[in-house]
Amino acid sequence: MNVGFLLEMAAEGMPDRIAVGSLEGGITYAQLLDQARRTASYVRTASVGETPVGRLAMVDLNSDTLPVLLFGASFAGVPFVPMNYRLADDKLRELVARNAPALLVVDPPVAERIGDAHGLRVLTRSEFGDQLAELPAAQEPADDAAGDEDVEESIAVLLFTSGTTGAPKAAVLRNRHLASYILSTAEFGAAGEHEATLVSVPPYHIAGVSAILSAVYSGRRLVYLPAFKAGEWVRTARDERITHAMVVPTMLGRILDVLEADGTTLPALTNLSCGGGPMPVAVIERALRLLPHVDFVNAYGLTETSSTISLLTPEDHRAAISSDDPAVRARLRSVGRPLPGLELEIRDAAGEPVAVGEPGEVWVRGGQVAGEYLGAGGGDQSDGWFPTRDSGYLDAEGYLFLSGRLDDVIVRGGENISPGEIEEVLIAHPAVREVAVVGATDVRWGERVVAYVVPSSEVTEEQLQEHVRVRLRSTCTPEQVHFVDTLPYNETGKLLRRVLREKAQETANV
Amino acid sequence: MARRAVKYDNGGETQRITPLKDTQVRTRQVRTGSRWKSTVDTTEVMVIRGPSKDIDLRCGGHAMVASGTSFEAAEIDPAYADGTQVGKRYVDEELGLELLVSKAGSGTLSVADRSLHLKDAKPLPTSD
Repeated sequence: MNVGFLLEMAAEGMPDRIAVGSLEGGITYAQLLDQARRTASYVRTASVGETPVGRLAMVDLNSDTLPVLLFGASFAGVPFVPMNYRLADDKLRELVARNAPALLVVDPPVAERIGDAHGLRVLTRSEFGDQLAELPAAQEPADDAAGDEDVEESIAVLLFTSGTTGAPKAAVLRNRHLASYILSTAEFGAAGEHEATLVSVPPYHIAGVSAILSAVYSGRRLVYLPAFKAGEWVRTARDERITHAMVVPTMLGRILDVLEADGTTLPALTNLSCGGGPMPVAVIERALRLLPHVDFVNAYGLTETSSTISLLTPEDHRAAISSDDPAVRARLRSVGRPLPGLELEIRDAAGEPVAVGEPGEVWVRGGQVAGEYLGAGGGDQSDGWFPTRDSGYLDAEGYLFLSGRLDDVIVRGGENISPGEIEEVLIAHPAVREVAVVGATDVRWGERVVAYVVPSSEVTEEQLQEHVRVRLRSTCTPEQVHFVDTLPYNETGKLLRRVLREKAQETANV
Repeated sequence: MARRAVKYDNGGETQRITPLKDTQVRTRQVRTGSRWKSTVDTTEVMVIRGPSKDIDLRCGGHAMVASGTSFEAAEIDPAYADGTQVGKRYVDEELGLELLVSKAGSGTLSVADRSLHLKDAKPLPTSD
């Protein structure tokens, strides 16, 4: 199955329902299918010089064109490649060039930044729209029927991951991975006609891709914000009577600030899913208090796993918040349980499964797990098991607790120290608003523990060191605590530890 | 870690496969990703998981045909008229066959005379 088939089903089953955009002026599933098929016929005949294009790439903000491109690429049988428009000009030029020969749809300012791009046919979003309008109405392909393993195996989406070193890697998501994910997580046509999902994550993020597929297959209207702004998000959620949304924790914090400031309650909102990074307990507790009518989901997933692999359900949230049992209450910090049909294990450094409660690396296997990078092979060396490089443990009931990236582990005097463990203790201090812990080279210990803290009230370095010392162990006590105004995050709320490590390095050498 | 296995209700004991008298038996390879059409009604399916051996895939008691091929319409067998629902998956665990109904119809999906079962999938909260 290719992902385009999901749209064909939606257009067959719910042709006149609004698929994308506002209730007035949005396009229906039948229209979305027509536009996607036109896109496919355009892509099939497009060429750069004499060479037919092999990819449909995009460097643009979110817009109603995004689902058209995703499904259009699928029908044309070429990968869809949404890329990060926030990259510096030279990095962006390098990245887009890697897709040649390709058709590239861009935001007008991006066209100027890219300039004369070799091997690329560049169109602005509106130029692309004009081209589609000129094409004759798309016909249903005469015979795309008889079973084709090539379709299953073909690449649906390429997502460039932000490598900390070297050039970005292109994560490969084949049609079978994404289809498997949708079939195991979404139910066809199950959304009510009033349901609408607000998408504000960037289009080059896996959550931006899975949002489209889930919403279309479920029959839930997609509403886009060009990019996330808290005020805009709240206004759109209210005006469009949004019922569902996915946000990263930093977005949620800012949304709550707006709600608190202007007293908006968002009565239409029923489901809010959070993911893309650890959810501070203080933020989710505040969210549950300010939006008591909303079902909260905390999801964990990776680009390489076609999005969500584990989730904390609304029932889990309610049980945790109202429980006196510390073990149940602690689940507010967990990412819930693995999806049914997916295998998940915690393994030690040798690749052997560990006992319940023991920390190790998270490994997953299942139809949605790709774990493959372009030009690097991958995937099947371990019998389909994919090592996530995330560390964590499972509790007795199978709830998954994450403690950070394995690559972020601090090795101090031969002891492995998880920054997440220290951050968890520090964030619980009433004077700490945000915190990040990294390692810095140390002559005596190999690495030392350095904490960056955004304080919410007055507190001293000594007080925070003591706070950690009495709760963990002396080796975990930060040798240095730096007070800062903000921590560096990327636009999806991921903490940029690399930036802090470099900063810590500079101060460590003084 | 407890490995999670999805359990299916295959309706008690396994029935013996015997071909129907009025239908020509046609076993074919039903490959993952292939699409099939009913000859008795509107049913269309997509193969989510194809079995390794050739099977006699039917709808409404009559052999299904590969989507896009021509066929002669047949009369539905009343014994195979329970119908299907669009977007639901139907399985035969023993064969390792899983079908997604992309267009619903009035016939029952079966392999020879053994009916497929509706896959019981618990709805998950939306996380996207």
